[in-house]
Amino acid sequence: MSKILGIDLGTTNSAMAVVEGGEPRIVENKEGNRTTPSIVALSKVSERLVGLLAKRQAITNPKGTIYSAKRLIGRKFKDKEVERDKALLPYPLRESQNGGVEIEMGGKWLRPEEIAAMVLQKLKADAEEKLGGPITDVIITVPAYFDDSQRKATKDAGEIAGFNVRRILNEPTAAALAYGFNKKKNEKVAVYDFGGGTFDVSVLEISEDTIEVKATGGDTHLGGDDFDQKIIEWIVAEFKKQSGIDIARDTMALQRLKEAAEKAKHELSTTLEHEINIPFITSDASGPQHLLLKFTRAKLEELVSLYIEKSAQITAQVVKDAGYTIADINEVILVGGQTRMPAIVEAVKKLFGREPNRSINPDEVVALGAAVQGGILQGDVKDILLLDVTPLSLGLETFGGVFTRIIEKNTTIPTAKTQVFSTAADQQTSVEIHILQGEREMATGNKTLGRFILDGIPPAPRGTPQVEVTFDIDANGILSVKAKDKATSKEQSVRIEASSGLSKEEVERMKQDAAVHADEDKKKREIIEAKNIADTMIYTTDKAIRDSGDKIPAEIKTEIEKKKADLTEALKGESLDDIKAKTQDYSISAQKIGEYLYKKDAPGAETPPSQNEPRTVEHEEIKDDNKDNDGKS
Amino acid sequence: MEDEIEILEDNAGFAEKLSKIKKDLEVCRQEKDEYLGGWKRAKADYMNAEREFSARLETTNQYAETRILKELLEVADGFDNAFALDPPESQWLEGVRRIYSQIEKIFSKYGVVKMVTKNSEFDPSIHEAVEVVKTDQEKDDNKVVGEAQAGYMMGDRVLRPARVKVSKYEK
Repeated sequence: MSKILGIDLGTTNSAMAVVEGGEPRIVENKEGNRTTPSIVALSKVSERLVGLLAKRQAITNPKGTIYSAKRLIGRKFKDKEVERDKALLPYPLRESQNGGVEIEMGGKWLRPEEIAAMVLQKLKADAEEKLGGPITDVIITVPAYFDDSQRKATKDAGEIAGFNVRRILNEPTAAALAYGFNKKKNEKVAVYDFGGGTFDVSVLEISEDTIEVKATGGDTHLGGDDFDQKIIEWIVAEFKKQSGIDIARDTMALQRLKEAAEKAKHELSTTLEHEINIPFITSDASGPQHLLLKFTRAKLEELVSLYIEKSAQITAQVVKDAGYTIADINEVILVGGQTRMPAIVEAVKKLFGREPNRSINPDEVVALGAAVQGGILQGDVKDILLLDVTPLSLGLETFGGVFTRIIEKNTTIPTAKTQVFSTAADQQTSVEIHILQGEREMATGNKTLGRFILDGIPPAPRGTPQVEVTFDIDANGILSVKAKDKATSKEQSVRIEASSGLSKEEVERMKQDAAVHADEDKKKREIIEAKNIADTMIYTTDKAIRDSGDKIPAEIKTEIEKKKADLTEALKGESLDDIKAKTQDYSISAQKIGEYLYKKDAPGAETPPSQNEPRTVEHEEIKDDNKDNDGKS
Repeated sequence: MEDEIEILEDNAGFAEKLSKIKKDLEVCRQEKDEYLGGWKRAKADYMNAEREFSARLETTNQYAETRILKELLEVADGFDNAFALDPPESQWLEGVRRIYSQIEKIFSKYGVVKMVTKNSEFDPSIHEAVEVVKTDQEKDDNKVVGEAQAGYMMGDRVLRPARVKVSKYEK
């Protein structure tokens, strides 16, 4: 079965999403954008334009460019709302035979659902291209206040576009689904949706298996566009004060100003002050004029405070209408791009006395929620609920008491990972596998899950044997650790049932513990790693001298011996800088062996010891396998 | 008589067991199909995600510079506006022109090319109309007659549409 597409069919912009691998994600349109303007136009050559292209040509074709059709869908021509919008919309409307609304586009009279269908058709085609297959089933969201007729018309739009509409979903419900609140029981959720052109508030009650809309309210003509307008008006007035020029009459300059206003609004969501700087914005008899204004967040908040206050009043009223008090509300969700404004977040926080949910992109949360609903219908989300993550990292102790992670925390299970280690000493015939869990850098700070010994490794110089260690966690969180000597194929393993047996508090405590000790642990680890590097270098240099000592001049050997003594002395201490410096000195001397031998008998000379040589109990990673847990026990 | 009854009872018990086993088998089969389906889907999702990720990585790499270049367009706009005022020639102006040409060099290095809009047919895929000007010549209908802001292409993609004045024929 193909994927169910979730569509947020908005008044100004639409977005679509799909569940993949259990997670909803936005599907970009053909132009590569995550939202598509809900605008349709018929060009001069009767070509249908939808989305961004329709928007770009809008002013050349005011009567043939249809936007905000959502305001008309499923309504009666005599509705108060339609009466009001008729005055604001530039395209002609008339009453249809059954009392509905019809819109003229390119000499033809169309129902609003036919216009909406054109937007949906574009989304369908773009999604099919992006996802590489036919999309038939869809979930479309509508405002919670839509009545049966508006819902029916939206469904019809979907069907005209060639979709099988699986469900018409309320926008606030979709937002709640995107945040996973359907899993909460008996909670009351307020959804505050401040979009580009409309403001909606809904109060939801989530019970065992339903999400019910208890009350809705809002202002269908209040949105982020009003904010932009206020900013533009302010800039125009300020510029007039400064230069005496009324820039509002200069379309070209106004265009630049609009862009600057929008940018300023976005910037002030993250900074407290923004400089609006448009050099050469216009010119008059006295020469070129520049626009340079300091715009502060405080000023912006002052300009739009009335709107924000109004939205807070509406919100309080809707909560009251639902029959609740503010204290009854368990969660608040922010939807719509304008809610990125810190003053709005603050106002909502102040009203409800709690931090609103805003971690999901407010422009996308409704479409994502629609996709989640699609996933539920399809059974996708059910599957994914079974997949857990490892709360803490799992790994083993390596030379010097260092904790080496094999499976990082927050890895989705089941999973398996393999790393190859080696021995720390010459002729070492056994290795101890000490399995640990935690986030500390040093083994001692973490929790021991088990240990076992793999013996029977054939005697060899250190760093030569290859011991393959595999950590495998199954879907139930049971960890199997296996160590295998690649030369003899001898192996040992252990099964640990309790790897996920930690309580939430224990996990939290261990994570905090790691955070508290992070710096000190890091330092300790760095010292040990530096010591290991030095140790390896001494080992390989000694070996080189042993192997070809007779060919090396005595003065080089003496120098190396002296530097070795210095380094050995440094290794007794705990100074990272000292160890590193002495290692460096030693390395320079040791390299002379290679240089000398190379000069002496050019090709085939001994390679100088390098820092890339395996560090003792080794991290000599040969490969890092990450397999699915298929067919394994 | 007694024997017969016993046999019948045995048979009945056997039949019951058989039907229970059959039922269990049916449940197992259904579960098997469900799990296999889920597994296949998860695998497919993973492979699709992987494919898409690598495709996205490619576009990201290709257009990683887009954001910073877009911001730089504003500086180029400033120069355009300044030169549009036809300042009197001087050594100083020549120097400023050269600074601008340095910016243009950076643009061309990243494949950013300024659109030529004058007298072209209005095309919303690369132009954004900001003003309409009436014309009484039918042949001049829907033509770009002025530019509020230059447009730029980056490869075959529109980095920023040209904001233009469009003529409209009216009798």
